[in-house]
Amino acid sequence: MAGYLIRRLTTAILVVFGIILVTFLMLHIIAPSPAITVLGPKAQPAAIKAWNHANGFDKPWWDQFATYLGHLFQGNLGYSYHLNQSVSALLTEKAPLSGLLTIASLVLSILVALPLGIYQGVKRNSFGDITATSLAMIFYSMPTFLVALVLVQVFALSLKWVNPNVPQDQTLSGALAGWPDLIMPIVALTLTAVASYSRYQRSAALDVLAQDYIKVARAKGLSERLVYSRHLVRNASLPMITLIGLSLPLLIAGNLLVEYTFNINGLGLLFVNSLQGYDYNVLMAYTLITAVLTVVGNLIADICLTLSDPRIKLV
Amino acid sequence: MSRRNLRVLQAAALVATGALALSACGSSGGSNNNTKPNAAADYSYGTIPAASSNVVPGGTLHIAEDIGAQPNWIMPLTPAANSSVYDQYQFQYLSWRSLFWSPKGSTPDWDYSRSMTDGKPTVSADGKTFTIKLNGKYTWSDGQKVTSKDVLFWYYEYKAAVKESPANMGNYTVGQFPDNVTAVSAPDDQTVTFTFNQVLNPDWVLGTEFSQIVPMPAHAWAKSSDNGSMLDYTQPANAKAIYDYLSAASKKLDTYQTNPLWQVVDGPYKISMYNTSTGAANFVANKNYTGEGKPNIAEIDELAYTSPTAEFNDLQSGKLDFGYVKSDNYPQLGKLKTNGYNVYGLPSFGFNFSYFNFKNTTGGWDKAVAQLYIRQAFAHLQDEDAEIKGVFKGLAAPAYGPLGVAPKSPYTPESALTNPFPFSVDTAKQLLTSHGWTVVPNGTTTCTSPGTAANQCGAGITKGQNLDFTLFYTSTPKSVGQMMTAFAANLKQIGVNVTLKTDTFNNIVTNESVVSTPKNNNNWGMADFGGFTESIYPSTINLFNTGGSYNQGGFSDPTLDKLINNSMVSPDSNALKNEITAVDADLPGLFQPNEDRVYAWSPKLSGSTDSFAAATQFMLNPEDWYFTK
Amino acid sequence: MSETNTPAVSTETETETARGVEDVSVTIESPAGPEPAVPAVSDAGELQSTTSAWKLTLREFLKNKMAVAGVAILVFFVLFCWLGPVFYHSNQNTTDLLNTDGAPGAGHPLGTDSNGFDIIGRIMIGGQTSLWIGFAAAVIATVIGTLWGAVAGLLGGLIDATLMRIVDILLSLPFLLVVLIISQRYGANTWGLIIILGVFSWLVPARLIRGEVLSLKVRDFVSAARVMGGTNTRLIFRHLIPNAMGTVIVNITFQIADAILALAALGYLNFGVRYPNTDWGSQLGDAQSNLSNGYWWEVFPVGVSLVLVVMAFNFIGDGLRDAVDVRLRKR
Repeated sequence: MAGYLIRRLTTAILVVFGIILVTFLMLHIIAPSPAITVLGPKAQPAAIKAWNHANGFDKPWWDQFATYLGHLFQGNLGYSYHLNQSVSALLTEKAPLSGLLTIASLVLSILVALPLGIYQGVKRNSFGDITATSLAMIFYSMPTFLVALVLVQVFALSLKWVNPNVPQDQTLSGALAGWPDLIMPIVALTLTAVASYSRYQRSAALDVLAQDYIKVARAKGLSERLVYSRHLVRNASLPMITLIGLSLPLLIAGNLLVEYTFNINGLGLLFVNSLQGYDYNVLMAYTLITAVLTVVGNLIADICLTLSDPRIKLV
Repeated sequence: MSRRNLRVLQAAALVATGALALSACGSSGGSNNNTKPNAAADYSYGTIPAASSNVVPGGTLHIAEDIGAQPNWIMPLTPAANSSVYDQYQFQYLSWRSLFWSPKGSTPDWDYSRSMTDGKPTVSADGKTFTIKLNGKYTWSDGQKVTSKDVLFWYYEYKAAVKESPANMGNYTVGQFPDNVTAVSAPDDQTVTFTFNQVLNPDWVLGTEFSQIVPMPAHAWAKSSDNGSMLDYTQPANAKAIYDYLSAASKKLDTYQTNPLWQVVDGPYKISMYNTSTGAANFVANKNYTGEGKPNIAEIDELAYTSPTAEFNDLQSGKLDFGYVKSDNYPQLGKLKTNGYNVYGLPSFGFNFSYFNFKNTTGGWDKAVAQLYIRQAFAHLQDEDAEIKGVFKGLAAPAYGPLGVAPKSPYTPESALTNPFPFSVDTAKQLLTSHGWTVVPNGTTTCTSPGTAANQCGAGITKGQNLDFTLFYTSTPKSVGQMMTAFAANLKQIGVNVTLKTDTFNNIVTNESVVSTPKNNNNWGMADFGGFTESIYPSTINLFNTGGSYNQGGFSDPTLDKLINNSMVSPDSNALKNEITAVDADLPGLFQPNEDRVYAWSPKLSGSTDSFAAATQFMLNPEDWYFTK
Repeated sequence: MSETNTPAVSTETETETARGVEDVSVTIESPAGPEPAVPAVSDAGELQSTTSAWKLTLREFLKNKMAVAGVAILVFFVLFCWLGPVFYHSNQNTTDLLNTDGAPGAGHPLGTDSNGFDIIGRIMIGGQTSLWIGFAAAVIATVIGTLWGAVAGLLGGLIDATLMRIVDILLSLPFLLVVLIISQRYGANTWGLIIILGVFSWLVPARLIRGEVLSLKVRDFVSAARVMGGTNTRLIFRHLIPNAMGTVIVNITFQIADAILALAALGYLNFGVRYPNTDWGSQLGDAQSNLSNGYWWEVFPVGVSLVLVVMAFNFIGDGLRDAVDVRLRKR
C-alpha cells in the first residue's frame, strides 16, 4: 500500500508538472506577454518591447517558465494587472461560493443518483425505470446553460418563487444569508450531474445483478432486501467513486455557464473573463487548480476503491 | 452600439470633455429636423419627468455598474490597465471632481455650474500661456479649500506618473499634456497658469488637456508613507515617491473603505464599502460637500452584474433604483414602464465604425481600398435605416461620420446630418462597373479593366483581382454581429465574399491594428471593435492622421493631416468643422448608427432633468437626486 | 500467414468482442460463421466477417425500443437538414433587417431570427453544420484515440506509461480552456472547429481502447499471432483493432453526442461558425436575452432539435453497447 501510494504520488506530481508546462506553452504561443493589458491598447510596439524587456518577457520561454515555477514554489501565483489584485486574493475571494455550489450539487446528485440508479437496475424496464431513464436522457442531452435559462424563466421570472440572481454579497456568509437564491444554480448543476450519474449507476447495478455471487446469495435463501443491501448497493456503487473523482473538474467547467446565468462572480466567470483579456496569471492559476483537482480526484477515488473493495489490489 | 466594449478603450481615448459652444454654430441648429416625422427631434427615447418638489432626505440608492467594467482604481490618476469611463465618471468622480465639468446635461458642452471655474481660461497675447481662475466653490471634506496648489499637485503627480511609465496614465499621449507644458505657476490661491511650447487652439487645450485635471488634496496626500510628513511635490523625486505611495494604496482594493486617504474628498460622496470579489461599492454622502447640488440621498450602492439580462432582471424586480437597459432587452422596455419606471435614452457622444486596413497587401487589398470609389461602393452597402430599425429597434441615431446627428455638437457640420451614401446595391454595383470591374452577384467580382484612367480599376489593381477579404468583429454586443452579417450579405450581392471572424474587443483593438501589431497586416481587410467616445472638442487627431496612435487601419491622407493639425494649432474656430467634413467624405471606415444609451429609474427617484440626461453620456450626478414621497 | 487449424475456431468467436477476458470460455460454442470474407488470411484473431455475430447484434439492437427510436430521430433530422432545403425554400443568403425577430406567421412558420433569416431554414443549415462537425470530430477523435490506446496497450512498459501520462495531462486540462484558446485563434469555421474538437477529445477513447487491448493481448489468438511472427503493426491493425471494433463504434456514437454538445457550448460563448454558415450552438448564442424577450421561436425549435439529436445518439450508443454485450453473453 505504502509503495503504491508513493508511486501514485510521484506520478501525480509528474502529471501536475506536465500540466503546468503544457498550459504555460499554450499561453506563451498565443499571448506571449501581458504588455498590452498593462500598457493599454494604444501602446506603441516600442513601448511594448521596453516593457517586455523590463519584466523579463523577452527571455526564452524556458527561462520564463523557470521563473514562474520559482514563484509558484513560494506560493506566489502572480498578479492580475487588469483586475488590480493578486491572483491568490482573487482565488480566495471567489473560491468559497463556487466551491459551495459545486460541492452542494455534487452531494445532492450522489444522494439522488445512487438510489435512483439502483432502483432502476432492480426494477429494470418498469414504468419508473423508463420514466427516469427518459428524463435523465433529456437532461443529459441538454446543454447546462439551457437548463439554467429555463429554470430562471420558469421559477424566477414567471412564478417569482426566487430571485433570478444570487445575492450581491458573494462572500460565503452573504450568499448563505440569501440561500433561497442559491437553490436554482445548485439545481441546474445537479440536474445535469444526476442525469449522467444515474445512467452509470443503473448499468453498474445491472452488471452486479448478473454476477454469480448475487445468484449464490439468492440461492442461499437470503431475502431480497439483504441481497440488495449487502451485495448490490455496495458493489454497484464502486464505479460511482471513480466517476465522482473524474467529474470534479467537470463540475467547475459546468459552473462557468451557470455562473454567467445567475450573476455569480465565481471562478468560472473569472476564467472566461481572463481568457478574453488574456489575463495570464489568472489563466495559469485556474488551470493549475483544475489540474490538481483532477489528479487528486483520481487519487482519492482509487484509494477509496481499495478501501471499499478488498478484491482490488494496489500493487 | 458597442458602447459596452468601447468603454474600456474609451476611457483611454476619453481625454476630454468640453468644447465651447461658439455662438456661430447655433445657426446649424434646429431647422433640419423635419426629415424624420415622428421620432423625437433630438433622437431621444422616452422622457425625463420634471423634478418633483417633494424631497424626502436620506435613503439608499441602488444603481448598476456596467458589465465587465467594475471599477478597480480609486486614485484619480488612472493607469491604462484600469482606465475606463466607468471607473472615472461613475466611481472616482463621486469623490473627486474635475476642474472643468462636461457635458451640460446631455449636450456636449461645458457645464460651468458644476465646474471649479466660472469660464474658459484666458489666453496670453502670444497664445501660449493659459490662466485658469478658480471660483472657490469647492472645499475638501476636512474643511480646507480647494486651491490652485491642489491643481498643481495633480499636475506634478501626473508628470511623475508618466515619467515612471507612460502606462501609468490611460489618457496620456506622448508629446501632449504634460510633455508640451514648459512652465506652471500658482500666482495666488485661486489662480493657475500653464505655458505651452507652442501656440495652440484654446478649445483644443481645454477639450483634450485641461479637461483631464482633477484637483487632488495636496494637504492630505503629499506624503510617501501613511504617517510621513508632507513633502514638496514640486521636486521630481518627491513627486515620484508620493505617486508610488498613492498608487500602491490604490492597488490595495481591500483597504479602499478603511484607508483615510480616500476619505478626503471634494465630491458629494465618499467610499464606505468595496467588494473586492465583485467590484460592487457603496458610497455615503459627504456632509461637508460645498459644490453644486446637495447629496440628499444618504447612501449609494453600486451593484455588480455578470450579464445585461441579470441586471435587467433586478431592474424589473425593483431591486435597482437606477440602471441601464442594453439593446438585448429593448423589447421589454414596456414592462419597465408598466412598473412605473421612467425610461430615457440618447446616444452618447462618440461614434462606431468598421475600419479598412490600408496596409494589407494580400491580393492587392491595399490598392483596392486606396480607391475612394471602392470605399464609397462599400458605404452604399451599409443600410443604416434598416440597422436602426432591425438591430436597434429604433433606439439609435444615424451617423455618417465621427459626429453623428445626435447628440449634436457645436462642431457638427451641416453635411453630417444627411446620408451621403444611402443604401443602394445598384449604386454600389454601378460604381464598380464604371471603374472596370465585372460584377458577378453571388459570385466573385473581378477587375477586368486595370489601369489608371477614370473608367479603369485604378493604380496597382491587377487584372483578375477580386475584392474578397476577412472581416474581424467583436463578439459582443450582438448588434455588431448583426450589422456585420447584414453587410457581408449585401457585399455578396455585388460578388464580394467576406470571411467573418469574431474575437474579443481587446484582441481586435490589439491585433487588428497596423499601429500595435503590424505583423498581422496581411491577415485582415476590415475590422470592427465598436468605436470611440469623443471629447467636447471632437478632433480626430490620433484617429485618422497619418501615424496616429489609434489609426488602426493606417489611413493616410495628407490633406486631412493638415486639417487635423489645424484643429489643434490654429486659432480658427472653423478648423474643426472643416476637419470633420473632410473625414466624412474620406471614409477611413464605414460609420454606423449611434445606439441610444437607455436608462430606467424608479418612480420614487427624482432630480434635475439635466442630471438624468447626463447619464446617457456616462455621467452620474446623484448629488442632484433624491427620493420622493 | 498460415491458414486452417485450431486457432481459427476461436477467431470467429472473438472477433468483435468488446468485453473482458472472462468471456473467452463461453465462446467455444461459437456461431458457425460460414464464409470468411478474406479466406486467404484466416489467421487467428483476424477479422473474418462473422456475419451471424453482427446479425445477432442487430437483432438485439432492434429489440431495444429506445435505440430504434434514436435511429428514427436521427434519420428524420438527417433528412430534414439535407433534403429539407430542397422542399422548403427560404432565403438564407440575404439578411432582412426590416424583419428581424419576427414572430411565427405567414411566410415564416417559425418566425425569423435576429438577422431576419427564416428559422426553419436556419435550423436546416445549422443542423448540417452541427451534425457534420460532430461526426467528423468524433471520427478524428476515435481514430487518434484508437491508435494511441492500441499502441500503448500493446507495447506496454515505459512507452505505455509515457503515452498514458500524456493522456492524463491532457485530460486534466480544462477542455474549455484549450478549445477556447485555440478557437479564439484559429476557430470559427467548420474545419477549424472539427479539428479543435476532434484533436482534444481523443483522450477517453484512448483509455478505453488501451484497456481493451490489455485484455485482448493476453489471449491465445494474439499470442499465436505473435508466435507466428506477426509484427506489431500487423497485430494492431489485423487483430486488436478489429476485435475492439465494438467498443470503437459505441464510442463514436457517444463522441458525436458530446461533440455536438461541446459545439453548442462554444456557440453559446460566441465561438461558433459565422455567416454564411451557422450551427445550432450559434443559434442558441443569444438564448438568454431571446428567452427573456419572449422570442421563444429563436430558442425552443433549435434547442429541441439539439436535445433530440444528442439524445438520439446517446440512445443509439446505449443500444449498441447493450447489443454487443448481450451478444457476448449469449455466446
